[in-house]
Amino acid sequence: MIKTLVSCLMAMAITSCGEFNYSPYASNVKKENLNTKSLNSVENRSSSFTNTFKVAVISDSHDYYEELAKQVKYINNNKDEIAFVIHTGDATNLGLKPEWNLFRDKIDELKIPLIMGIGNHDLLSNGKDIFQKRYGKQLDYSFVFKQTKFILINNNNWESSGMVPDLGWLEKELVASTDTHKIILGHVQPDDPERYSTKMISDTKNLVNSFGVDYFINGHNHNPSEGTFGTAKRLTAGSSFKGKLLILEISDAFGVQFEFVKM
Amino acid sequence: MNLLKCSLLIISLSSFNAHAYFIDYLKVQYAGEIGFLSIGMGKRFGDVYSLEIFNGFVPESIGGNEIESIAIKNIFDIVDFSIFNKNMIFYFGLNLYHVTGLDYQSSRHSSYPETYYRLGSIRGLLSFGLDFNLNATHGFYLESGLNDIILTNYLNNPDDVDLSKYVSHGIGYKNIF
Repeated sequence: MIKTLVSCLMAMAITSCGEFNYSPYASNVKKENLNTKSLNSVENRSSSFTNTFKVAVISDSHDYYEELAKQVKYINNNKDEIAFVIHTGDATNLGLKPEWNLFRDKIDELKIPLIMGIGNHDLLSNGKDIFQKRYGKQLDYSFVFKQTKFILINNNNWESSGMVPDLGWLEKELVASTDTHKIILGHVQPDDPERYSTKMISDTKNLVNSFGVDYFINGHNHNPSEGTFGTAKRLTAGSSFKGKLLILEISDAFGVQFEFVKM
Repeated sequence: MNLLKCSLLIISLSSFNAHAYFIDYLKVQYAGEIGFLSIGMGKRFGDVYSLEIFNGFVPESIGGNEIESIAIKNIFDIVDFSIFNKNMIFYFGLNLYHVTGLDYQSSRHSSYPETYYRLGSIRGLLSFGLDFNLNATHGFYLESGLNDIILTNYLNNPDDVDLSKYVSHGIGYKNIF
């Protein structure tokens, strides 16, 4: 009886679930370039929207899957008003493959395009490698939807190598923009005194002021909040755990407005 | 190269009658989260408990990055029985493994303040396994387990984590002295 039960349990375990995993630190995921695919979907959705549209911003979902599920449900229920979703990073705690997969299991329930940014936690271990294979090689990129330019910049300087944030690249993006509105999204608050020097903060602020950036939106700090950064409004999207979802509404009549919707 | 050194050590130990002193068997394992391939040795203490240590390796061409692990397994026999006149043991494993290299030790990286991140290079693994001995010297085993990340996420989000997708299997050969 026992041997039959044990043998059956093991047979079930092998045949019905799981896989032969070599290490949770491995980065052997399929190259999918999901951000490029999402941006193509965003462009296809453009004809469904006038110059009045909404964008949902999620951040720091980490392992708060229950709360993330509520945000996904809200977005799906309002998918005719919300053009797309931006995640400003920290989908994981340690950048590990099972964490990326757990996040994927939940976020794939979204019925509208998701544009992924990267957070400091996502860059740990081989997280950057996984992100670049799954979402796209570029950690700094921009796109235009209707009258608005969205600029996603990797400003996780401690966890990155090279010039991060790349203000030279940011300036080029702003110079090239003839769009009515400009919104910058980076994971970390741009005036974080722990991470950035006074000069870095000042240089970033000068760019924001010189090019009339409307909003700088960040995550990292888990509490949703609003403030200013130079002449721009600064918003912290807040962690999924805090039970609020940042919704931007962009229109010709009223410009860029925002609301923290309670989940 | 550590895997090679470990292999050479184990080979020399096995020829040295090492079991008289401190090991009872050698193992070679495929997968099970501690490497594409890992090599280990074990010592039995009493009727129920065994302690094993492994050194595992994932080559870059397979894992995306080169990864080395050192694992300690605590094996507790639950029940033994025979099938087709072969002795089988069903066991429970409480395992810990550490991934070497500074990139994984997020609490100690020089780029950010100490303890900014929690320790990232050590993982736990709860497993069940089936050990079957072909004869007095050779055997095979099969293990299935869940690591601490999955278990913690499941405990915090029971409705949102499908455990069955994240079970890790390992299979191995055992050489008993």
